[in-house]
Amino acid sequence: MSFDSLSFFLIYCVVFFLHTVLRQKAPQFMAPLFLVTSIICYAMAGWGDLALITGVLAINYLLSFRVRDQRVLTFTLVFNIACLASFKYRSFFLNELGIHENFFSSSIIIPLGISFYIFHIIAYQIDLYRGHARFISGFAKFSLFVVFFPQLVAGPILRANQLAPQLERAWKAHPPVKKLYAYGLVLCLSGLAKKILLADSISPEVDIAFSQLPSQAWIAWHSATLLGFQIYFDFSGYSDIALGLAYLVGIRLPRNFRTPYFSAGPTEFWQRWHITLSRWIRDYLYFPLGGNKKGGLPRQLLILIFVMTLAGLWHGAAWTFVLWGFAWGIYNALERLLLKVYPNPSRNFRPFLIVFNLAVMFTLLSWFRSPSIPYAIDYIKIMFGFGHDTPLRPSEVWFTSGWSFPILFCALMGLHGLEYYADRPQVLWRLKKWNGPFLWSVLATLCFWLVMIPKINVNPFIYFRF
Amino acid sequence: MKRKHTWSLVILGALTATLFAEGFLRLIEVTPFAWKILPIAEVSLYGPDPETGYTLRTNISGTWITENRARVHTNNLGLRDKPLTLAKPNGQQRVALLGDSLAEALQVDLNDTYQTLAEKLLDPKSQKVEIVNLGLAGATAAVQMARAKSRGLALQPDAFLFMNNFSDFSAGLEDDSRFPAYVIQTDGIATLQYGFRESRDFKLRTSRLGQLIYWLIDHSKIATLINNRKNQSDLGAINLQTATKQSCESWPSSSTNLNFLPEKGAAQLRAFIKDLSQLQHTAGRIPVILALANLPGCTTTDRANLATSIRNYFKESNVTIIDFDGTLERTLAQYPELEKKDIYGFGMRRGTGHLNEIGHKIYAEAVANILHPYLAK
Repeated sequence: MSFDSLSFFLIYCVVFFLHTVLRQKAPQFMAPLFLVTSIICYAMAGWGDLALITGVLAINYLLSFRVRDQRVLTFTLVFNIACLASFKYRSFFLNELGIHENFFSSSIIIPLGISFYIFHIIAYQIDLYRGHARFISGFAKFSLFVVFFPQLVAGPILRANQLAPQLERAWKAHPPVKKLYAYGLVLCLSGLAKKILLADSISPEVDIAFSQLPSQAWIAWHSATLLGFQIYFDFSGYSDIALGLAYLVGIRLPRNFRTPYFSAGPTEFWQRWHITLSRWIRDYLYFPLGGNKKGGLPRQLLILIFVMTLAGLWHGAAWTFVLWGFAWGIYNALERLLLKVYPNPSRNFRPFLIVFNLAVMFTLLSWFRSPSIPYAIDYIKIMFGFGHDTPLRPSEVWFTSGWSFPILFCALMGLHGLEYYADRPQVLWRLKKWNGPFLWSVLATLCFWLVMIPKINVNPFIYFRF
Repeated sequence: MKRKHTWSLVILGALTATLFAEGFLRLIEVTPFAWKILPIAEVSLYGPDPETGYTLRTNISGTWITENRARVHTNNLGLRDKPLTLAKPNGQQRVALLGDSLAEALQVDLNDTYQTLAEKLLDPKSQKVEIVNLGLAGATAAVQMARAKSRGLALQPDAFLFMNNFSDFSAGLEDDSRFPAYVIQTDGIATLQYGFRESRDFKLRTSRLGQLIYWLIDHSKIATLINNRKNQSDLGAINLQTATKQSCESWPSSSTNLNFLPEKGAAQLRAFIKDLSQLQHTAGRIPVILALANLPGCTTTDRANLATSIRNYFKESNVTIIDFDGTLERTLAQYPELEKKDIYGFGMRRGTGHLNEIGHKIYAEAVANILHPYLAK
């Protein structure tokens, strides 16, 4: 169920009301309430998806009893990766092998949020093996840990020590931490505004722009910029709502974005974009493979490129995603080499580096959206003036003013700057000062009017499909 | 006391936020962002009508956003047209155009509608030809007939042009609970019935409370937003209605008998023809033209056969029947770079839905070709 739908808004209002009542009168029912809500929300995706996640949960729960044994851990990892591969990548690999016409390659619908909950479970099992997490005793508790509704479908990807202790408090009916409701509501409002006002508004233009190769270089840049902001507003909007919804019922989730478009390089970018995925890759893939500690520089760079290529594949079962990840790996490796020669470039050239990083990022993002590798290559050619300029298509005419690109770019970066400004502690202090029924009511009502805006096009959150 | 104070703050907060949302929506509408980008409340155009069940209300302005954004204004007569006088001006030739959402054309600007473009094609210099747009979204043959009688005759037209879909008859609909319909009587004859007038919904809409709600919708973006939500699966469905998918083979074409229509549909078509003849008589024996379209899935030959069969129905009347799909095909043939799908839909949904700007140009030529001989007289 999508967070920007009226039906979810109404269901959440009921859950929040019940949570508020239970918190005071019968706190032992708070955790079961979260579990039931999570199951209801996920069941909306379809009974097949629900059956799959139930099976995955049951098997992982049983395995978690013995996961401290390395052989069991290996089996657990193989099982989870096989699950992900068979549901998300099966068609892709079989198509590559030229197998089209059999039962195994028949088109399947990727189960909702599978990439997220499988990573979530893998993190838990590895942490358990390493002794970094405590065993979650009880199938219901384990299930809630994985399916907790604000984060189930598109993250943030959580660690056991981030979520399990908080849910344990709910199961044990401990009085919840006093909350700054206004903060939770501001997160929800910010997320809804990003999704409904910005991402969904940009979406039709991006669809049209990428339906055919752009006719001129600046149109290609214009479209790539729109795509960059559409994805950012969509995904960070979802993450904000997830954080807000969880916060309002007493659970704190980690931040997933920190104004990533102000990054001065690829390393910084991945520390500010989809932070929980970056950290997952770092802790469970990059470091175990040696990271930047083992071997010489060439080996370290190769590992970096390999890991980023896998990160690309995580985003989608297509060569364009693999290429996208590989290119990010190369970009990261180049930065690593540059830093060897010139240790702290952002001290003197930060504004220049931000613009350069944005240009690289938007260039790579165009591959993210491209339907095929030849299309992606042609798109890049056009971006850098190697394509043949053709007359503007009717769909491109509306943004033909020569100033439209800089104006749009500045406006979108301005919004990003506003977000950066709102991230300061002073804003939180102010919220604390004004926290009260009046502000809660203002924020909740604004959220309501946002979800009331009629949806002319169906625009599910982009990361749902990953 | 404290609880009372808390609730007062909650209500005050909700009102403040609602006012802010109202202001925000209004602000968006006056900026260029309303045109393509930011979400806005879609204008609520329809109101109750004792003759047609629903109609476009008079002097309503706003932005239509379904399928494509366009500024829409209804005129002093409640038509999607320029301001008009009810009495025909001297020396003017007037055609009353009746049709469904394709004629109403809310998805494009008024200057791009086929009705406006056809006017220009018919009389580019003196502009003495006026095609009055009586199009109404979702209007079946019965609704169009009720509209022609109640509004069309008062305009003193020189000709009536009905743009109908074949599915109006093949579906055999006789539900008059929302708008007029041809209902089959015990003797097997269909007559125009207005059962909706007794419905609770219609009574509410015409009551004082209903009027208050319409006033609110007209004066508040938030009220419009609520109305949009209410209508999203209701009126939205009517607007996006496309031709019923039927295969041509299901209608055995015969030039001698009319068994290709279901019994109800045949009775309704007979009643419609009778009403058309009556309308022609009342209006002073002016030309009444029925352009029948939407015979999906038919080959050219099949469609021509079917058109011949339908034409036989009209033998006894003076109504002219036109195979509009054929006319459209001939017009399109003059533009080899265009396919039929190019004239429908907008953006990524090109190929399905309502007429786009290109579609209106093609339709305008087809309509001008149909009307030309009658106006020349």
